[in-house]
Formats: sequence, C-alpha cells, structure tokens
Amino acid sequence: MRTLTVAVAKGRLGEKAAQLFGAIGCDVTTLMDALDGRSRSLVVAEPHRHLKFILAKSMDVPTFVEYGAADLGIVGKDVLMESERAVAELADLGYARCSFVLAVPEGAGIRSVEQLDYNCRVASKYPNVTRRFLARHGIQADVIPLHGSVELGPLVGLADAILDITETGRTLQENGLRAIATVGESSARLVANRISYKVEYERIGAIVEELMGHVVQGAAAE
Amino acid sequence: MSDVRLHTPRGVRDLLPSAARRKGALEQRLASHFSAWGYDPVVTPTFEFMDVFDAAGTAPSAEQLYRLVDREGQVLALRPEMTVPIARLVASRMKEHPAPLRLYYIGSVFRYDEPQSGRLREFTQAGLELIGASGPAADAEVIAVTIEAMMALGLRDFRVDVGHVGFTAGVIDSLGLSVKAATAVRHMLREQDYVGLTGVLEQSGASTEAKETVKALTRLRGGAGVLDEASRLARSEQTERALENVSVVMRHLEDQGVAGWVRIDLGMLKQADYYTGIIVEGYTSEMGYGLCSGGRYDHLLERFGYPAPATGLALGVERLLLALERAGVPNGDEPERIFLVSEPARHREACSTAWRLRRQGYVVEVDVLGMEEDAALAYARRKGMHRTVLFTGAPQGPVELVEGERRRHVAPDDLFENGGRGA
Repeated sequence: MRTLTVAVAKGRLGEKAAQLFGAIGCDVTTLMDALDGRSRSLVVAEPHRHLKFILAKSMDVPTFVEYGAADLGIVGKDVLMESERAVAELADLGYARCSFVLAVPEGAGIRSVEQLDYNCRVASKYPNVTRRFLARHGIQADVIPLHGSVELGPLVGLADAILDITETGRTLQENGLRAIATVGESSARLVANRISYKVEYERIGAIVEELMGHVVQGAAAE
Repeated sequence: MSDVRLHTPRGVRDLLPSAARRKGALEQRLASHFSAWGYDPVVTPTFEFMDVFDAAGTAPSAEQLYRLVDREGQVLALRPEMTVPIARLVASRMKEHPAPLRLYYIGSVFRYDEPQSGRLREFTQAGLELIGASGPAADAEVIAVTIEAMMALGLRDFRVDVGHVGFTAGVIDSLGLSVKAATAVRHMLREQDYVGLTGVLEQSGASTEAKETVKALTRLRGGAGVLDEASRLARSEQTERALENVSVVMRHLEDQGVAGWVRIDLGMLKQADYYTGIIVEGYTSEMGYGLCSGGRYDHLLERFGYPAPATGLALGVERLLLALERAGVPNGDEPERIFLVSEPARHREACSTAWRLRRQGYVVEVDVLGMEEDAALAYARRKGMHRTVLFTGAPQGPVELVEGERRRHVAPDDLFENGGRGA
C-alpha cells in the first residue's frame, strides 16, 4: 500500500489535527512529540494506516499539497484563501474558527468600507485576500504586507486600516480598533492534492468520512 | 565582465544537451506514434490575433494570456493552447479535405501562470484532434492513441478518467437552482472546493434531495458500475443521453484493448467552456499534476464559421518527461558515439571513414582543434565517447582504436565490421 503523506501545520492547528487523526485510530504519539517540540523531526511515520506526517509552516501547507509533495494537508481557510493554490478542499474540520475582518481605529469615524478613503493604506498578513476584497469594493488602497502585530499599523500611522483574522475581537478592542466589515469566515480544512484525490480516492474518502464522524461528535459535545 | 543579463525571465528555461536530447527523442516517438494512427502534423503560428482566443472561450482566462500589441495597434496573444488555433486553421483552410481529419501537433504554449512542476510559463504540448466525427468511436480513438502513446513511452502506472459535461450540466440543471447558484455550483465543482459547494447549496435554499444529488455527483467515480448509480441520479433526457454516450465510449475502449487504464469520473469539470461531451484527464501517482487533458468540442469550429464536430487530447511533454524520470524509465537506446582524430596527412581518410560510420547509424565527431593524443582521449572521456580512433602513422596504414583502457591497431576498413569495434 502506498504511504499517504499528510502535511500538518506546526502550532495549535496541527495539535488539533493530531488529536483528530488519533481519534480515528492513528498512532500519533511521535507526531505529538514533534509538534510540541520534544523531538525535532519534521517527518513522522504512522504505521497503522500507512500514513506519513510532515510538519510545515502553515503558509506552506497548500504549496506542499499542490505540488503533490503531500497528498493531504490540514490548514486554515485563511491560509488557503491567501495562498491561492489549486488544491481540492475536502472537509471543514470545524475548529480554529475565526473571521476575516477589516478594522479601523475607533476614533476614525469610519463605519463602513465605503467610507474608507479611496486611496487609503491597509496593512495585512493577507495581502492577496486584502487586494481582492478592496478591488471588489472599488477601493484603490495601498496594501502593506506585514508578518505579525498587524494591529500596530494604525497605532503608529503606518496604515489607515487593517485586514486580519479575529476569534473574539478582543485583540482589536485592546488596540483601539473596530471591525467595519467581515471579509470571510475561516476554520481548519482538510485539503488534498487533486491527483492524489483521484489516485487514492477510496482511501482518502474513507479518511474524510472517519474524521468527519469525530468532527461532528466533537461539535455535539461542545 | 559584460553587463548583459545572463538569467532568463521567470517561467522559462534553457535545455542543455542531455535534457534537450531527451525531450527531442520523446517528441519524435510521440510524432511517429501519432503518425502510425494516421494523424498528420500541422504547425500554427506562435501568436495569433487576440480575438481568436476571445471568440473561442479558450481554457486559460484572459489574465493568463501573454498579450502584445503590434505596430498597427492590433492586439495579439501568444497561444495558450493548440486546439483553438487548429480549429481556426481547419475552419479557414482545410474545409475541403476529406472528413474526418486526423491532425497532430507538438509545440510550445504560453500561460502567465504561477510556474508549477513540469509546467512553466512556456511549456510543450503534444496532442491530436479528430475533426469531423461526432460518434463515440472517435472519442475512444483519441483516448486509445493517448494511452498507447504513454505505454509506448514506458509509463505503466497511469490512469485516464473519463467524464461528460452533458451529464454534469444535466444534473445541475435538474436541481432547480437560480442561475447564480448553478454557476456557483459549477465553479465549486471545477475548483473541487467541496466545502464551498456545501456552503453554496445551503445558501441557495436547495432541497435536501438536490443537496444529496450534488454530493452523490462528486462520488460518481470508478468502473462501469458507476453508470448504473449515475442513471439512478439522472432524470433528464440530457443526462440519459450523456450516460449512454459514456457507456458506448467505454465499450469502444474495450475493443481498443485499453479499458484497463480508464476510469469514470462523472463529477469532473473542465476550465475551458468549449467542451460539449466526453471530457478526459490522465494522470499518474508519480506526480501531483495531470499528464493529459482533452475532450469533445462540437461547437468550437462553428465559432470560426465551419460547423464540425471534433474531439481531441493534449499531453504535457515536460510532465511526461518528469513522470518517466520519476518512474525510473530508462531513456531510449542512444546511438554509440565515436571520435576520430587525425594527423593532417590522414584528414581526408578520417572524413570519409566518419561519413561511412554515420551512414551505419553511429554518432561521429571529427576533431577540429588539431588535438594531441592526450587531449583527444581526455575530451572523448568527458564527452562519453564509446570509442576513439586515432589516424596516426602512414596513410592507408592501420589506425589505433581506443575503447576504455583497451588500445589496439586495426585496418581502417575493419572499423566498419562488427559494429565499429573492428574485426
């Protein structure tokens, strides 16, 4: 049997993924060790179901999957939207839920996207998503790509608005920002290489079904 | 150091001799394979009027086209695929030829895409078009030629999926969705965004039954049994006709002896909107990208003023090369290489010997640098010459034949015996 390679993101997203694969009978102890830094290996074999997990940066998971270096991947929809990679999106795993929002300083007096200056500056970790969203609203903004602490942008005069993900809105609030539009919703997704999904259709289909069984149970328990 | 830029733009690349030789050999094998089935080559220009691709609803979107403006201000485009140019060619220049037309092509196409593995912004397609035949036998033929081509190249682990745009369209039409929702469903199916698909169906207020139908559609993959499942799902005349068509094509593929490589996938959709019937995609587990793609396009030639049914398939040459390499398929037999070095007095002899050896099928180089023996042997080693022949000593006398560590004197005429190894 061919070994299926599963790309998981390091961090919380990956830990939940490991739990899910554990729940469907995979041996994930080594994967857990790798994820929480007890081991440094980036490739972890899973003998029971002929899987192999690879640990990648979240933003790189769609790339591994598109190229077929990984057959499956678990990654946030936010990253999928930003990466614009051609992968098959098989299932919503329901966790790591958050929203993409456009936020401005509370004192700016702006309440809707239309009120934004037509050539304002918007800082974001998601420049592609930002450009697409603003283009849809006819705003010719300067998009300023940042890698973190996006909330800083408006505080120090780097940007007029930010586009970021938020779970509860608390970080925004603490930095004096207010969301004026929701751009999209994100959660963890199971993705597959398009050709792998053809070649290993039955096996991948079975994995999706089992994982979803636990996702639904988990949702019911919450 | 000159300040000329030595690198190339993103998405294109040079091929050095060994890679260029492999690619050329593969293209030759494909060409002779297509010819054996009666397909004739055609060549179309690298660029065409932009309108040609606009009119055709060609596969890559407008932003994937390389567009240029000529001095008269006309908008041109580098061809992003070959089917549309060939449709234009046939509609304008080959109407009088007896039907059906069997044509093949091998050429570069250009897409302003993110470079992928085995597909840069310039890549090579080899494909065939069977024009003027509407029946399933024609669809089966192009599929069979393609499968046999991949086998002839030495690929074993590959598969070809067959779907039908009429079936997919019929099922979507039967759901009673709004035009907007139906478009979104098609988009999600094409992108294989099954999460988005569920979302669209929830929002569209589709019936539970409709949702189940779409979900079932994405699962219609496998052998002939899929057709029975599909007919339970299908209700319209259109879907019945499509399924009948697929089943007859499958029968023809059995007749051609290639059905073992074919699987049905009725949830498949294509980027190009000119497909009207059977659609095809071939792939191998060695690679995350498809190897070949095509289908039936009965209304494309009509857009150029010449209504004629047609079907075709295109193989990605670089992807085939990559797949063969990954599958560890050895390169085809390469001719033996011989290096001839002569003293000035024996140059004429060396030239005529080279000529005779080339006629026997050897690759023969004659020294043009006036190399000394040591330099000649070192060059031959680095170039991977099988043999070196030193024309030293008296004219018409023996020559020295060097094969690896072995050296011996032979009469010049003996070189033509025993495969150039001397008598």
